[in-house]
Order: sequence, then C-alpha cells, then structure tokens
Amino acid sequence: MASQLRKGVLEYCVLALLRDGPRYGVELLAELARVDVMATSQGTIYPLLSRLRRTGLADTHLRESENGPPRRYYTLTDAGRSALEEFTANWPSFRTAVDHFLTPGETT
Amino acid sequence: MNDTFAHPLVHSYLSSVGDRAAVLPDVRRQELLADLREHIEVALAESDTVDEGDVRRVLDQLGTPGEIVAAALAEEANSGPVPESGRRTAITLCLIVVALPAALIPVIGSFFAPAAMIAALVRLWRSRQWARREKWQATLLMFSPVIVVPGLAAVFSVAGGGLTAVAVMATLVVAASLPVTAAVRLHRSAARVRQRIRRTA
Repeated sequence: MASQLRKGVLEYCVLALLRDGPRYGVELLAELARVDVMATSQGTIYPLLSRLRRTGLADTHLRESENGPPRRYYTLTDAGRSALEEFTANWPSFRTAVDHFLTPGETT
Repeated sequence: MNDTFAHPLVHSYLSSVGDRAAVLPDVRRQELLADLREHIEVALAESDTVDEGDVRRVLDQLGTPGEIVAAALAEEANSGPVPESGRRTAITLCLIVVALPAALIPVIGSFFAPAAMIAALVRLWRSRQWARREKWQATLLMFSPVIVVPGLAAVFSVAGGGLTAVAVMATLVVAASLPVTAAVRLHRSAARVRQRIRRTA
C-alpha cells in the first residue's frame, strides 16, 4: 500500500531534493532514507534516476573527491525544474481532494 | 578500489543482479550494474572502516538483487516503446509487403510466401517499438486477404457475371493493398517513436 503511494510521488521528491543544488547518488539516497515513509531499498532508486536522466529531467556529471572515487552528481535540468514546479502547483489541491474523501462527514 | 570488487560479497551480489537483469535491454543492464558498482564504491569510501560488517550494511541498504531488478523492470515497462534500427524496421516492413505477392511466384512461391509471413510476424511481435494494439492491427491486416479474397471473388461473381480477368486483378490489388496499409501505419508509428526519442535525448 505505502509502496504504491510512494511510487507516484518518489520522482518528485527526488527532483525536489535536487532543487537547491547537485547531489551525488549516495548522498541523495541517504537524504531520502531520513524520511521514514520514503525510505525504500536504496538500489531500487537507481532505475528511477536512470529514467530521469534519460527523459532529460536530470543530468549527471562526475566530480573528483578528496575521499575515494569521483562522485556522480545529479542536477536538475530546466525540464526537471518545470516538472517539479508543475507538481508543486498541483499537489495542494490533490492533497485536499484526498482529504475530502477520507475525512468522515466531509463527503455528501 | 579494486579491493572493493574483489570482495566476495560484492562480487556475488553484483553477479546476482547481473544474472537477474538479463531480461532488461543490454544498455539498461550495464547502466544499472555501473550505478550499483559506483554506489558501493562511494559508500564504502565514506565508511570509517571497511570490514565485512560494513560491506554487509551497504549491500543490505541497497536491497536484494530481486527487488532492484523488479524496480528496473517496472521502470522499463512504463517507459513506452523502444526504437530499433531503421534497417531492422525496413526489413520487417518489406517482409510484410512481399509475403502475399510472393505466393504468386511459380514453384518457390508456395514455400517463400509462408516463410516471409512467419518471419514478418516474429519480427513484428518481438520488436519493442510498437504497442500491442498496433501489432494486433498489423497482424489482422496481414491476414485479412484470407477473408477478403474469397469475399470479393464471390461479390464479383454474383454482381459482375463471373470471374473475369478484370475481377481477378481488382481482387488481388485490393488484397495486396491491405498488408501495404499495415506497413505504412507501422512505418509512421516507428518514425514518431524515433522522433520523440531524439527530442528527449
């Protein structure tokens, strides 16, 4: 159940995590895992990241690190930013609509 | 860093993912393995110690190979048609068009026509560039001469006073145009897929 719900919104949570700047994979997944409801087996996010890259919502580049191998950073593209903005604009009314049906006495 | 992949746990984890991911297109499989390899390498580089416990923790957090490949498959199923090379498509479409007229070639026609038909169907249904609905439409159009030819022949016989040479010709032209229609529709849809992929690439 929770995983069905997560599936639809996960990619926007990922895009939102990239809003303020690039993050590399391990960092991004650790950030997602901090929120219980979004926590999932980290490896399952890579196919999603691959699609974001393929459909042009995110871009990647390698950056050297002082500690170990270079990190692959994910950045938001313009298309990714506008997809995120669209979702952000639609989400409140979606949330309100679901609440409307779920709250006892709200439906007529 | 070579130590990381020499670790037996990492090695068996990645080869398990690799085996299960054989159902994915090769590019996706390679990409998934590269992403996981990088993840393990970075996660272990950031770990204070690298002992067996750390390796286990990193792999546990990644999830089971089954879960990961299932996620990759689900992602693949959502991603719509996957274009194939223009050459591959051209051969499939040629086979669809020539299968029926090939039956008219003396002697070899009776072998060649069914062979072309089967090859065309196999290539059509194995391709990931067309939707299921498009494949069904094309298949029906390819087989429709089986109904259309006797049907038209009957109509001409009743209405036109017998099967004249003109009636036979007209029947064959109509029948041959049905698979051609199928090929044209498939061609247009394949061109759309290619164009869309180019735009998003």
